[in-house]
Amino acid sequence: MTSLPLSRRPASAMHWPVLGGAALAVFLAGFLLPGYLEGGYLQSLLNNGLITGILALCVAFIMHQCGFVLFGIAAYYGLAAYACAILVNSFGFSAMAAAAVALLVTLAAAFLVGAIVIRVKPLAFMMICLSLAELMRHFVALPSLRRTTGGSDGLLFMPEGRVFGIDAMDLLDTGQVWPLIWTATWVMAGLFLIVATSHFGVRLRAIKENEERMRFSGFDTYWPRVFAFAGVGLAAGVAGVIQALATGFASPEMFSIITSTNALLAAITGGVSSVVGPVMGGVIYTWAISEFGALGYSQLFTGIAVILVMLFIPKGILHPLRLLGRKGGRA
Amino acid sequence: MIRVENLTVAYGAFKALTDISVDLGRRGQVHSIIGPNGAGKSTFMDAIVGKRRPSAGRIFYKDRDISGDSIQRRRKDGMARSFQKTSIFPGLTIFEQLDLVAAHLNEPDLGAIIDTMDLREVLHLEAARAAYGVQRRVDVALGLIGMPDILLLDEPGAGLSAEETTNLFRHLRKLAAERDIAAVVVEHDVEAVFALSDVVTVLDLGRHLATGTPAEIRANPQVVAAYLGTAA
Repeated sequence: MTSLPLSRRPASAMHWPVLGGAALAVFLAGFLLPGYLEGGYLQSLLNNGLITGILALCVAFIMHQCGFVLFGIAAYYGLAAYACAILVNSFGFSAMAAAAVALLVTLAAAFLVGAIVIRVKPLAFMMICLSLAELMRHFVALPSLRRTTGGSDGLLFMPEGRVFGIDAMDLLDTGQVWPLIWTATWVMAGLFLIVATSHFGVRLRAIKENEERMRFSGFDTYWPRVFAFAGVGLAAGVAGVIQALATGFASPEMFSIITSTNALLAAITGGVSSVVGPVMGGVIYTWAISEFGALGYSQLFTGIAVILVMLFIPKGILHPLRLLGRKGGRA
Repeated sequence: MIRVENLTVAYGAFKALTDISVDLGRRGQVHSIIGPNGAGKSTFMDAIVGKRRPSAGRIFYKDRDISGDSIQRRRKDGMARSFQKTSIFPGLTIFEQLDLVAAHLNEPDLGAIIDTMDLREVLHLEAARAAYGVQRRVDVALGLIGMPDILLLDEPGAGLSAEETTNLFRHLRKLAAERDIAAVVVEHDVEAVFALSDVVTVLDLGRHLATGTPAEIRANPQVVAAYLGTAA
C-alpha cells in the first residue's frame, strides 16, 4: 500500500525560530540585570526565586510527565548542598570538583530512591518522598555528626577555585552569582523542554495516560520513570549546589517540608505544563512570601493566594495569557 | 499460529477456564470466539496475551511455549491486542501515540495504517477530543503497528451500532487479507460473527464447546442449546 508522507507537527506549531530568537534575546538581556539592580534585596529575591524556580521545574516535570506529586524534592536539593559542603570542608575538594561529585552522589541517590518509589502507588510515593527528606533533615542535624555536618546549626564552608570561570569566593556576592543562576535556570528549563518534547517525554506521558496499553504495545514502563526521577533529582541537586556555593552554607532547613512545599506551590502557581510557568511561579511565589512576610502575615496571605490560584487559575498564571495568545492568533 | 493445550485459569477456587485445548489464528483469516456472558472469553484472551497466568496448561505461539513470557515479549514477537473498552492515550494527539508505538516497534509504513484506518484528517487532534468511532479506530491502529502476525480484538464492536460492527468486521477481513495477519475476535454480535468469520470457537461456562466454520457452529445442537437458542 502506498502512503502519503506524514507531517510531524501541525503547521501552527512552526513558530520555533521566532520563539527561539525571542528566548535568546531575553537570555542575553538577563546578564545585564545586575548592573541595574546593583545587588541588594531585589537581586537576592531574584536569585532565590530562580532557585525555587528550578525546584518547581523538577516538581512540574514529574507531575506533568509521570503523574506523580513529588512532595520531597528537598531531599536532593539538600543532599547536593551538603555533599558539596562536606567535600570542600572534610576532603579539601575545589568548588568545581565538589560540585561535580556532589551532583554524581545526588544522581546515584535519586536513581536508587526512584527504583523503589516508582513501583508504589501515588499516595505512597508522595509520603515516602516526603518522609525521606524529613529523615535526611534529622540525620544531618544529629549531634554525633556535628563535626561533619555542622549539626542543627548547618555547615559553613569556604569554597576555593573557580566555577565556570568565576572565582568561587565571588559567588558569595548576589550580583556575581547571578550569571550562574540565570544560566543554570535556562539550561535546566531547556533540558526539561527537550526531554518533554522528545520521544522519551511522549513515552513518559503515554505511561502516565495508560500504562497497560504501553505494556501491550511492547514498552517497558518501569525504567523510563526511574530515569526521569533520577534526572529530576539531579536537576534539584544543581539548584542545591548553586545555593550552597552562593551562600557558603548548607542548612538542615534545605531538606525541610517548607522547601518542598514552596517548590510544589511555585509549580502549581506557574502551571506544570510548561517550562516557563514553574520558573515564573518560583519568582512570583518567592516575591509574594517576602512581601507577605514584610507585612507580618506570611502564612495567612500565602494561604489565601494559593487558594485563589487553585480556584480561579488551576492551570497556573500563564494559562490565561496562553488562551489570550491563542485568541489573538485566531483573530 | 496459537495452540492452547489444557488451559485452566482459576481465581482462587473459581475456575474461569477449564481444560481448554484449541488452535487459533490462521494467516489471513478471522477467527471469532463467542459464548454467553461469563463463558470466559475475555479471560481466555487475557491468558493468551499474558495478562493472566494459566493455573494449568500451556500456550504455544509459533510452536514455542510462551506461557511464561511477559506481555511486552509477546507483543514484540508479533502478538497484538485491542481492548473491550477503548484503550488509547487520551492526552496525546493521535499522531503522537501512533508515532511513538511505530518507532518502538519499527513499523515500516505508519502512513499505510493511518490511511487504512482513515485517521489522516484527525492526526493532530488530542485523542480525548476525538469521536468514539475514531478512538476505536485508533485502538485498532495501535494494534496493527509493527506488522503483527496475529491481532486479538476483545469485543471491537462494543459501543458501536450493529451496522458499525458489521463494517468493522469487513474492515478486519480486509486487513487480515491485505497484511496477511490472523485476527482473533471476541464478539457478542452473533450475526456479524457468522457473516464475516472464517472460523468460530464457542466457549460456555469456561469450557470449550465447539470450533468450526460458521455453518458448522450454527448446526451444532450443543451450541444451539447452550447459546444460540432458536435465534440462530
